[in-house]
Amino acid sequence: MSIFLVDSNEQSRCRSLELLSHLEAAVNVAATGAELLQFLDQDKDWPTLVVIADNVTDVDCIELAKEVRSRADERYVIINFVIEQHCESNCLDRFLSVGDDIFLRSQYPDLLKARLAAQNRLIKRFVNTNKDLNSYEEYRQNIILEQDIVEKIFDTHCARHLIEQGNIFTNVSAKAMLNGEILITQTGPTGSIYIVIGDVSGRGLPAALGGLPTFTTFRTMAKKGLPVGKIAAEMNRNLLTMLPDNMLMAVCIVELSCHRDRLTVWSGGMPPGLIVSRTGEFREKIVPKHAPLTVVSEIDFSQDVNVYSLKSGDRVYLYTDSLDQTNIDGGISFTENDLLDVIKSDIGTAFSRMCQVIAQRSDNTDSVFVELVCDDTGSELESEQRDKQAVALPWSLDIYLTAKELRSLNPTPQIIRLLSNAIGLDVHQDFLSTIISELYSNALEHGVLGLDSQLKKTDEGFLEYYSARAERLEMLTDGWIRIKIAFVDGNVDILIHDSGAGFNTDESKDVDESESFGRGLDIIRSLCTRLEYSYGGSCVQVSYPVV
Amino acid sequence: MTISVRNDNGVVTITLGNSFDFESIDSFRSAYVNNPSVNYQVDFRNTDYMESSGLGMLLNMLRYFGDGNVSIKLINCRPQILKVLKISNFQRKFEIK
Repeated sequence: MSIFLVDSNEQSRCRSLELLSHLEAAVNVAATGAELLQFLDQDKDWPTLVVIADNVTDVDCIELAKEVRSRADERYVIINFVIEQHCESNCLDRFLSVGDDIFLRSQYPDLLKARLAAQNRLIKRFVNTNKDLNSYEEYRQNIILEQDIVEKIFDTHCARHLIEQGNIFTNVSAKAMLNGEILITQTGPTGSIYIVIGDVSGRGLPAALGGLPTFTTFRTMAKKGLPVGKIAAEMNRNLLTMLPDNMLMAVCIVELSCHRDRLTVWSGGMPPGLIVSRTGEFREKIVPKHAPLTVVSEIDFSQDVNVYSLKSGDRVYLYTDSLDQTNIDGGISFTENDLLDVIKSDIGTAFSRMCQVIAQRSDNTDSVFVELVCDDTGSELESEQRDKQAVALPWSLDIYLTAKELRSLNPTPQIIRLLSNAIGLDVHQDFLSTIISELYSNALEHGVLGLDSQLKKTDEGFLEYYSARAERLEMLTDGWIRIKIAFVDGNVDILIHDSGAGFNTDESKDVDESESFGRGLDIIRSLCTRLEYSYGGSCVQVSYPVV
Repeated sequence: MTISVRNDNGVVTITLGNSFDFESIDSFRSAYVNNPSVNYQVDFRNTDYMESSGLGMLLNMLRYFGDGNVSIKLINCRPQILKVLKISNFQRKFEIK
């Protein structure tokens, strides 16, 4: 508290000063109003209490108080008058129209002391409240800034996350993305459609950013056509390393097959989705099978999925749990049955009516709602794939495996991981996996280990073959396999050369359909454009056309 | 990911792991040997790729049951798996769904 006292009478000024000095406040004194205004105009150490005596000579004391008020602007200032004697009530009103309190000089000093102490408490409370108000304002500004940042990130980074597809209808409410709701759609290499819809626990910036690390994971894996269970496992792994322990992500990842006749779902912690017929009849519920992501460790994670058969024209509805939390003025929440009612009444307009429902229910809602129409439609994937070829550089990979490596690992997964990052090859990794692991198995089993496929003719022999494989591999001290893979002119050329004795490549074999071996080459032949042997059969070369 | 088995009223469903190759030979074989039935489904819902040893294992299963009128369905095959099965004319030996 700081006080400014104006009193033109030296005697009373000294008395007042003596009294005010008990308040533990800085006190400035002046004999004229001009001095006070001059002090205020310096805009330094503004007083919180101004005491004006009615004996001020140079200016009318009420006018002086008005000047103080107008200069104070938003500052909190208490103005008290000290007057000589009782005056009429209209005179008091004049004082109180601008001042906060009036003291009679005769009442002075005890009453003044008590009143000043009360005013001092008020001032302190005001100062504290003001401090709080400022920090709330600062906090509010920060939130606005954060939301701007998130909005910017989502606008630039995530707008591309929805593919243009005539059979997907999405409704993402204004605040959804800012509160950790997630919706991404992506086309797979075979024309299937992948959708991830989810919700990170919590609100605001942390929730919104929490989901971000999984976006790229989902899109990359979906583009490669990987199974949804595997995508979920990878997203879980991402989040476990990124999110703090107390955050979860409920998520439903679906893949709608290219013929729109099968829906494969990994769902954890999400409200059940609905499958309805062309006419709006309820068919099946998509029930979450798992806990939300990050609840289960990488090791215990289950990739198990649900598979639903679809009929042409079926519709799938997916939504986040904010939908059933939306209330009209605290009324009843929106249930699955309400949704079914909307669908049943007219399936053709169900989606747009649901959008209206969501908009009406609450302005605070942050829901995501998706309708998927399962109609067989063509896709324009191939041209996109061809575009990629044009820019892919030629490269080659040369791997030499000695007995030590042959004993300890299967190279196919590592090679596929390398290839899957190559431009243009990402969507081919399933067939390349099949080809490489087929050729590698042949080189290892028949070449390096010298096993004979004839053994596999009987049920017992089949098992015997693979136990012999394991035994010989464990004892292996000599031998090698060279794997060369080159990408040239839209072809993946694969060469596999082994240290074995080779075989008579002229001997053409007709595969008996019931025999459980000899099919590998059929697969290779139909997937590859070229199959050539050299070095007496110990070296095989194939070409896999990427286009 | 490993092979899992479920028996629903006599229909034995064997759900395969990520890849179907000789590494799962023992668990695949015990899945049908230890769960006798006349109605089997091999579920590929979680499977990315297979090689001929996987085909061999399926044929071996067929051979194990001989002519015992056992139905073996291959279900939930992804397009890549379907292509490998069709190359080997497996639709003539198994019901592929």
